[in-house]
Amino acid sequence: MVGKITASRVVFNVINYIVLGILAIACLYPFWYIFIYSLSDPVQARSGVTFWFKGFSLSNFEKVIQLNGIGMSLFISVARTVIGTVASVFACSFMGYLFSKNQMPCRKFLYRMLVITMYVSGGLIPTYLTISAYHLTNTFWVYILPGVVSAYNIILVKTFVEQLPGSLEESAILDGAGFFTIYSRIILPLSKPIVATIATFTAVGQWNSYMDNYLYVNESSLNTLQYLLYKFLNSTQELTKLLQQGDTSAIHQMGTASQTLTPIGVRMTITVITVIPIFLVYPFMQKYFAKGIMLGAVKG
Amino acid sequence: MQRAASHKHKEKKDYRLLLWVLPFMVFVLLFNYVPLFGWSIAFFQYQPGSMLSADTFVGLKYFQQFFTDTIDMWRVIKNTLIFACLNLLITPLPVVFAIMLNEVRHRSYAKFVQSITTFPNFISWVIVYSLAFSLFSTDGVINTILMNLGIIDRATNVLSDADAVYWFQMCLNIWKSLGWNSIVYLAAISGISQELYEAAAVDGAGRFRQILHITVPGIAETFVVLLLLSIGNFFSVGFDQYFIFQNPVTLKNLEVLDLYVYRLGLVNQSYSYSTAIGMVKSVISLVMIFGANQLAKKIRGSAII
Amino acid sequence: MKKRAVTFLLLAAMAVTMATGCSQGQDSSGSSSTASSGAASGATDDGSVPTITIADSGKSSQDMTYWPTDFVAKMEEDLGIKLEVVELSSEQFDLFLASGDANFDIANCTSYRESQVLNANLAVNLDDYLEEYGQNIAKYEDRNNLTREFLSNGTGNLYFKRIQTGPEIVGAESWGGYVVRWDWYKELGCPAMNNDDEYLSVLQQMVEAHPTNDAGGATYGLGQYVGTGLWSWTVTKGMQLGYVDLVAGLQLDLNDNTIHNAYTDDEASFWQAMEFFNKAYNMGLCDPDFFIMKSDDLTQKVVQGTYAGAIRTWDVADYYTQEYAKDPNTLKGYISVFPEEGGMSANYNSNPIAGWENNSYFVFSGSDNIEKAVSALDYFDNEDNMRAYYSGFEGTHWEYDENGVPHLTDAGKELFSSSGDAVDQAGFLNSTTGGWMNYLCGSSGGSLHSDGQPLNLTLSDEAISETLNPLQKDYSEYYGVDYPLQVHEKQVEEGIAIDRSNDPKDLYMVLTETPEEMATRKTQIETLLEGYIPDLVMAASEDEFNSIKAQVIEECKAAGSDELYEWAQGAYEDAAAKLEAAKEKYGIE
Repeated sequence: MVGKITASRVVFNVINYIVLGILAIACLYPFWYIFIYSLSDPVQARSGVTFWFKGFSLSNFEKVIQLNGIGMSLFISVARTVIGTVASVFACSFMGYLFSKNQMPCRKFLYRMLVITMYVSGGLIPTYLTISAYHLTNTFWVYILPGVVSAYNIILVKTFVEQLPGSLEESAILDGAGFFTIYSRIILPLSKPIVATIATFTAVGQWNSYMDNYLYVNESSLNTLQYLLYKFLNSTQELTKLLQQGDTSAIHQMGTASQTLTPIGVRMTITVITVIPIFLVYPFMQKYFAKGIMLGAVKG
Repeated sequence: MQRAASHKHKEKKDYRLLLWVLPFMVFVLLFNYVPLFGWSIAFFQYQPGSMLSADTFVGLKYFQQFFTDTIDMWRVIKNTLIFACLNLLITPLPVVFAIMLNEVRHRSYAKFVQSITTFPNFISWVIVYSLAFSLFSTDGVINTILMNLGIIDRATNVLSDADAVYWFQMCLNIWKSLGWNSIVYLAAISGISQELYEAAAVDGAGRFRQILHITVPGIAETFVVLLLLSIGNFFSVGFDQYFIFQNPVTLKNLEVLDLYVYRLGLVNQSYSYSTAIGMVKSVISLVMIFGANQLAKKIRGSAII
Repeated sequence: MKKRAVTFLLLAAMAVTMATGCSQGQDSSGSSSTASSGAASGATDDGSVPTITIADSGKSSQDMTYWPTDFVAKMEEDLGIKLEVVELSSEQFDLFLASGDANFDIANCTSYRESQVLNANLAVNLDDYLEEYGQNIAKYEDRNNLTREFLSNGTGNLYFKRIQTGPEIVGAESWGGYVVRWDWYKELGCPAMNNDDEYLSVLQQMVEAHPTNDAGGATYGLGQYVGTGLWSWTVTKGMQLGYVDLVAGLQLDLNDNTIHNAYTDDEASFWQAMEFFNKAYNMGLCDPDFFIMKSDDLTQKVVQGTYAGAIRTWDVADYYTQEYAKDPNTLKGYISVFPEEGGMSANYNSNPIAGWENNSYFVFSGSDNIEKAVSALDYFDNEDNMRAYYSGFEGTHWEYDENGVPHLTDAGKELFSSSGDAVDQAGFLNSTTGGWMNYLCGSSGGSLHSDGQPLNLTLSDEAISETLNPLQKDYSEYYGVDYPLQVHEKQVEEGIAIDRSNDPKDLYMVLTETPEEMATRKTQIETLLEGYIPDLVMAASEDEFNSIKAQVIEECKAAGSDELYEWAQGAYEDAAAKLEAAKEKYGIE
């Protein structure tokens, strides 16, 4: 098969590489733009950057590092990402497997009940009152528990598991193994790609989440990094916002307030801070869910 | 395939499965269903701070208001439908992208492209706007290049072009979500047994036939399931993107349902009205998703959910 | 596999921690230096020092490098408390209303939700504490009586502290006039601009004289930003004409105290503004990106020196700041010029009895330290403390001369005309750390201290003229005044222009909430109008403009603008009568 390189295949390959390359550049340039913007002098960068720093400066990052409680918030963010991801990946992958079993009584009913959750919501205030009634406000667990069961992830796992060859599992059943044993010994190892996928989704979701902190937690020792960044961004935007609302006091302050940071610069910086840890961890996950492309060379 | 097989011989119910799954379902009940008590505020003139019993019961007033809002509704529904259809139109793209990635021989190139294309997913729409402005505005990069090359003689501006708005937003959407959404399909491809490819290669199947007969069927199920789920989200086309790209020129074309709820519900602090619209949306979603499910059952013989 | 997954995740977590680990180290050193500079911060764990938390709607800085500021440290010492500030957004406020859960002692009730706070029993009746802890609050009798009358759900108790009563003084300049690039305007010999046409023709001459900006791009007359609904389009016209947007859909003309429909009447600021922008557009003065710029995008062009004029002075303020940093004598900046013949209104001298609209501070009824919280509110009703907040500490930043008249010292003058670390550490009005606290002050900076001088000493004529920047000085010299705003003040004295002294700000507390149906109508009509802005501005001829206008007005009427106006008129007249009656009842002038 190595020798069978047809002309159409060459054309396909060339086009494929070029299209992918263009896509990559279309995604890479914005990243570069954001990166150099965040490392440029905030005031000079207002007139826009193109390909290189405008007055290299760390002042955006310095301000972020000086935020009150950033060390603790980093710890909380890492903790919620790790615990939240482990809990949710376990729950979703196990449930995905369970729902793939026809022998489950009321399977259809329960599964549909789960799917429905993707399309209904009680709204801001009722959800708050519920969480508050469970005494979860101002606890770490409010970051974990509401998100443990994700219908979307369960559906992904179920779909994947149903594609697996059934023979392995059947032999295990004959050996008298329980469902949990089959799940952990057979299903999980075979489902690495999808487990890595939902782990990526959950971890990124956890790492980026600030709404739960914003709404349910006002204990400063439980603040997450993303929430601190969100608040920081808000405070740099506030003057602009007040002016837009025609607030008289802001107009008074305008002449004197020092404009060392710009909202857009802070935004860019926050994006960089958010993305770098994700991209550090990403290759480990990619190894599993993109196993297909890793084997590309072997297959050709 | 295997699924259809296991479907045929109905095994007897195993209650241990129920025992395992119920504890998890308690979470669903507690965090997803209990808050639905809040739907009751749609029937009252609710203001935060008062007990429901003290609020005026208004019955279906808010639902009526929604369905009889002749000033905005036609436009909002039209825009929402257009964006929903465009979103459906682009759902196959992540599949194509995943397959293209899978066909790359140099794995480091594939890995690089895969990683970097997920990046736009992490850029907030506010930054996307600011990037778009510096590229597409009158003295932005694109206009400057086109004018220098003599392709156009007057600066055009896609951001303030009411006619181009639907296509432009769709392209942005593709750019932002393509890489991220393809992850699921890459995982599905990774789940396809290597033996199938080897067997096909032995049979003399070329790359194209391998794609057509192994890769595509291997990810078809995932695609169909996700398509079904997105049909349920038909009316929730999103908020941020349209909110940010709205300006007086594109206002009429970008006003989608979620934006309407924001404008008339949240900004005016009318929790009752936004809850009522949310309920209508939920009902439509569920009707559509279960309708599509029935359709799928008729066509392929097996339901998806 | 599970084990491996856990191991992997832990590894990932470690990688993340390590990647950002350096920040942690720097943070701890940063906070320790803060602690040493703060006087009272060491007493956190001491049970005898209660923490009073003020919830503010996001205006305070999140940068805690300077906390507690010198001013806050003084306050903490005076009151024996530790002061904290948390953010409370509109959403969070709703959750607070719905649940009664709060992490603050004091909060500001905005968006006219006073009655909701009272319905849910969340505010302390201040009357019970005034004698012991609120003597200074009690001194504002007129304010308190109006608050008791209109913001107590009929109980007649005092639940809210209103802020910024007394005359509003803006300082050296005002933003509402015809904004021009001063150096270019001078080149033209400062031609008089008595109406929109003359202003636009001046802009056109400037653009012709300076076709390229600092970056080599084209220059334009005006730039605009969007994303604020109708506001960014109508605010300047409304200010110039002397209008107040009092109730949804209704504008009050301060020149003759008449009202008109804000959406369908010819004199409405919206239509006046549209005519102005239409003329500007047809003269080629509008930036081609007029309809798509957000304020950041506008700034991007502003700092390149793109515009000959501006719709508001603060849109273009960054240009002068930038040029000033390069050359402290520069005249490259923007300033507003008023018509020589007068007739234009400007934004100063409003004089509310019950303070700024839409701001009512209250003490949370579930607070553990109600007394201390009342004292904290009281602190900002004390004239000496307000003097300190507006003008700095006596002896350091200002002092009395031999005649008992207070003056800023050199140190004070320097502090109040600069910005940066020293200013932010001090935490007075002009700082980014303390600027938001003027929302707590019972009186405006223009109100008089019992020593006969304004609380804010930087607002005295003498202090203003001493702190002018070179551009303002040049402007003042040209017009023969002490500071730029004086041009307008003189016109007011001559009776050919108006300030805001008869702005009926107290009406807002009587009007309180707009019924849901009317609020919906307002939103719908304003969205409708916003969508027609491009058509109106870009109309090629007067006929075209008028035909679009007729169509738009018809659509407004179909959307219920007449009914809205009818309601607004009733609400306005009712409120005005109630306010009048209350003033009479309490003997308020």
